[in-house]
Amino acid sequence: MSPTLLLVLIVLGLLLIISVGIYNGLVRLHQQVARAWANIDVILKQRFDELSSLIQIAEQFSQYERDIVSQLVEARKHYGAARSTGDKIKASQEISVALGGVLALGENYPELKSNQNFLQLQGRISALEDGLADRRETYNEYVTTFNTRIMQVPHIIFANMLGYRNAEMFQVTESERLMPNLKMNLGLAKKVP
Amino acid sequence: MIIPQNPEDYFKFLMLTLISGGAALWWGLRRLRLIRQITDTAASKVATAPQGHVELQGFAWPDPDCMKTLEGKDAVYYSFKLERYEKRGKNSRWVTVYTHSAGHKNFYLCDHTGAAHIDVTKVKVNADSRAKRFSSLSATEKKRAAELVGRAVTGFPPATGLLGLFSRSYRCTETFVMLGSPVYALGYFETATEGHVQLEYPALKAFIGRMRRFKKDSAKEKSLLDVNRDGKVSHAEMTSGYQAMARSAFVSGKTASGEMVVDNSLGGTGTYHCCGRLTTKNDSKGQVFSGHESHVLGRFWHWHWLAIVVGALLIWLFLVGLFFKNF
Repeated sequence: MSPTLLLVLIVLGLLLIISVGIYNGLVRLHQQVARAWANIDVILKQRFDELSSLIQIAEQFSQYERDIVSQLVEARKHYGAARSTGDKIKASQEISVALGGVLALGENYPELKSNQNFLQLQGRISALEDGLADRRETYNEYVTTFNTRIMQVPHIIFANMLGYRNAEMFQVTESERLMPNLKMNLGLAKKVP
Repeated sequence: MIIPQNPEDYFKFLMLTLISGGAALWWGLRRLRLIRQITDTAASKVATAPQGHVELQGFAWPDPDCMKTLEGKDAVYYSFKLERYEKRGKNSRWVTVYTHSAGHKNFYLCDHTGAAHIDVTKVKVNADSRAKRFSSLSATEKKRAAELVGRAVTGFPPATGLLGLFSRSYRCTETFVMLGSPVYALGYFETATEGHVQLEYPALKAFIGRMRRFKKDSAKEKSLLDVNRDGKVSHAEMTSGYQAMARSAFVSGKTASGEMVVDNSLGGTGTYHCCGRLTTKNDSKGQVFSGHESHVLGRFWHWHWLAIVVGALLIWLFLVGLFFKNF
C-alpha cells in the first residue's frame, strides 16, 4: 500500500463521512418540514373543533347574515373531508375567509359587538389566527430551505434516491388578502327580517 | 528534517499527528454540524413556539435582577474567574484560584411576543468574555474584584506601590451576557404546562413596548441603531442600541430604594408572558449565542473546512509514518 493510495483512502473516507452527513441532513430537514406542518395541523384541528360552537353562536346572528354562516359551514365540511396537505391548506384558507366574514359582522351591528358570546368568539378566533400566522411563517421557512436544498448539488442525488419532492408552501390567497374589502362590502348587505 | 529519527521521539511525533489530526477533524465536523443546524432550523416567535427543537431570537432580560460586572454594568448572566501566575520554570502558567459562577442564575430571552426562560444549568451559554490583568484594571474595577473575591484567596488583592513589584500577578476573566443584548438560542422548548405566566415587571413592559414599536417601524429602528450610517445595523450597533434601551427601561422600573416595583395593573395588550423554558432534551442540545442568527453565522467563517482538511492530512501523515518509516 503506497502513501498515495493511503491519501486516496482517507479522501474517500472523508467523502463517505460527508455523504452520510448530507443524507442525514436531508432526512432531518424532511422531518422538520413534517413537524412544522404537524404544529400547524394542531392549530387547524383546534380551530376545526371550535367551529361547531362558533357556528352555533354565529347562527344566533343568522337573522342578519345567513350567507356568512353557510360559508363557514361549507368551509368546515371541506376541511373535515381534506386528507392531503394541499387539500388541508386550501380548506384552511376557505375557513380563514369565512371567519373573517363572521368577525366583520360585529363592525356593522353594534348590538352584536356588545354581545359577550360574540366577544369571546372574536378573542378565540384572533388568538388562533395569530398562532396560525406565526406557525405558517415558520413552516414556509422550513419548506423554502428544504425545496432549495433538494435542488442543489450534491443533495439532489440523495434527494432523488430518497424520493423527495418539493413541499407545498402555505401561502396567503387572494381572497384572504381581500378580507378587509369583504368587511367594507358587508356594509351594503341588507338586514334579513 | 522535521520527522525525528529517534524511535521514542518518532513515536511521540506519530501520536501527536494522530491526536491533533483527530481533534481537528472532530472539531471541524462538529462545527459543520452546528452551522447546518443553525441554517436549517427556522426561527419561531416565543409566544407560538411549539414544544420541541426550536430556534429563538430576542434580547436578554434578568430573572429578576441583574448582576454587576467589574465595570459596574448590568449583566443577566455573569461569571468571574481569578487566575494567578505560577512561576515554575518551564511549567509557568496561569492557575485558577477563584471562580464565581452564575450557574444557578437563569435569565429570559424576550422577543416582542413573549419570554422564554433559559435554564443555564442545562443550556450552554456561549457568552462574551473579557480577560484582563488585575494590574491594568481601573481603581473601581479593582475594588469590585476585591469585594467579589473577599478573603477567599490569600494575598489578594496584591499590594500596590513598591511592594507590588514583589506581588504575584493575577488575571481576571469575566464571562457575561449584558442586559438587553441580542441573543440567539437553539434547544428544546418546553411550553409552560400550566399556561403562560404573566410577567409583571414595569421595566420589562417599557422595554417590550419600545421593541414592539420598532417591530412596527423597522425603518425607524434602522435609523436609530445605524450609528455609522452605512445602511445596515451591525451586531455591535444592535447590541449597543438595545442595551442602552434596556438599561434606561430597567432603571425607570425601579423605586428610589432600588427594589423592583411589581405592577399589578397590567392587562389587555400590555400583558407579556413567559411562555416556556429552553433546555436540553433528547437530541436537542440547548445553546445560547450572543447576537442574532446572521451575526452568529458571520462569526463562524470557514475555519471548519480548514480544520477538516488539516485533520485529514495529519491522519494521513500518521498512517504513512506508521506503515512507511523511511518515507
